[in-house]
Amino acid sequence: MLVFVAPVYADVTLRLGEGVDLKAINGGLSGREGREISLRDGPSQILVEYTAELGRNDDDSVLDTSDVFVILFESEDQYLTLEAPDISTRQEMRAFNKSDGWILKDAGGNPHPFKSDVLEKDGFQFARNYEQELSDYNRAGSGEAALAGLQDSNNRFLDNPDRKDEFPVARDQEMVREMLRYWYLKADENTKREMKRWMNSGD
Amino acid sequence: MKKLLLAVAVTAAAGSANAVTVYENDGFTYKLNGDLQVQLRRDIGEDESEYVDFDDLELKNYFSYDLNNDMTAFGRVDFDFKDEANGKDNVTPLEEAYVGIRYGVTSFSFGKQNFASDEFGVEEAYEAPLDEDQFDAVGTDGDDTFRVDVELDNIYLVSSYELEAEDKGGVEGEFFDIFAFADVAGLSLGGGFQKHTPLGGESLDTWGVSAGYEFGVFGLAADYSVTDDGNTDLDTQLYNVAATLDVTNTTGVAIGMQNQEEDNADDVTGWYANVTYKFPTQKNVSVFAEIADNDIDETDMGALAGMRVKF
Repeated sequence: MLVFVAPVYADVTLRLGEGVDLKAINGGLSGREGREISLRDGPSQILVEYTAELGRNDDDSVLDTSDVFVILFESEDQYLTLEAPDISTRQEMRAFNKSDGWILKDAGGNPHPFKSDVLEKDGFQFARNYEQELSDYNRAGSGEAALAGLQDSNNRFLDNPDRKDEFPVARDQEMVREMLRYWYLKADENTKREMKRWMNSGD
Repeated sequence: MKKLLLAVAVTAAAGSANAVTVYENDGFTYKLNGDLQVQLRRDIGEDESEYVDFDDLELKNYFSYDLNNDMTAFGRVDFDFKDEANGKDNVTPLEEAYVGIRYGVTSFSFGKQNFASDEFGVEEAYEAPLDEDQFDAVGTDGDDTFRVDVELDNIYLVSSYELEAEDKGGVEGEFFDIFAFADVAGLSLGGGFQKHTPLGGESLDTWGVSAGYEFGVFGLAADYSVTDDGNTDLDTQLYNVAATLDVTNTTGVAIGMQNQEEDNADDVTGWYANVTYKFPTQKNVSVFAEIADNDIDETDMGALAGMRVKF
């Protein structure tokens, strides 16, 4: 008996901690609101900064924003949280910018591996072009959190390199292809071999 | 107003608000901050009228230059236009203007700036019914001030010295101040001392201690400060007790009580209660309301409501 199981499209949910501002996701401006964002399984590259209120009293405190950080991590069907430590002095903010104190953890509170780097720009900081800066950063490839494989030959950022379209498909087949790819990647080696044999058999 | 931050969550963390970094290049940084607070207020007193008070209209300019080897030169120029907005005469908007050098955790600065003892205090009022503490009760100027700050992980030490210069807006003489603050496992302890020596007069010695503790969404703090006036041989003491509660992650309330007593005079007790709401999407924008009163005869309760925007 053939049992049809509705595919569960596994996403990664990333919750941003208080004061964390998302600038870009995988090369594109975030344009998102709220504290939780959804990401595809696989590698993700985000651009974030952290704003804190510095000072020991509310009257004289000032807002200060960290450097802009590129953060690269790999995840699959997980709930992750990105936070910065409590920062209340310029000294702590300087240390944060230098030592990279970002905290990425999973739903169980365990540290999740990631790489990070400061996206630097000299000159006036108004109206930074994060898309272009990230594109340049990834193309250079020398940064700690660079991921050149996420860009195509025209420097356009792709959702996921595995998803690069080599064969255009009809619109109603996009989801089918997505699910086939998803379950194939989920399969173990035996299942993959069986699937290949089945496809090659022409059935 | 100077006080220890009682770490009310709604005041401790910004949302997606941004400070403005204007320019960065070759180790040079220029940042601009703003703080605007306007209140509709009725003061404590007899038959007081409501009025609009500009409590803060500040633009803060911060410059720094990386000198390498963990050394940074910095400067700050703050303008506050509240006095102009409130219709006061003969005022200048310059609030702070100083330069300094930071090496590691230690910085030295001089110019027009706050004293070390300005860091003292725990009261949580928008407008305290009495003096905020005895350091606040002693008039200061701060035009010719040298200051050393040491910021360690859980300890903060400050010392300042105000030159015995003349023509300082009615406040003359020299000031020497120290302040120490330690924060361990939610318990914060502070202590301050100030020696003010007026020209041709005996010194006024002020000292104070404070303690605060956070347990979850609650915060509780108290301070005590006393001034020994060598000219009159009279002591004036003031204490604060304050409590805070984070009702939600956007709303906090604070209540507090003050008592001030000078030798050979009746003591005065004041109290206040306020609520602050910070908009969840932009926690640098807040609205607030407060009521306050004291036990002086024939005075009516004061009240205020206002809005604050920071960037």
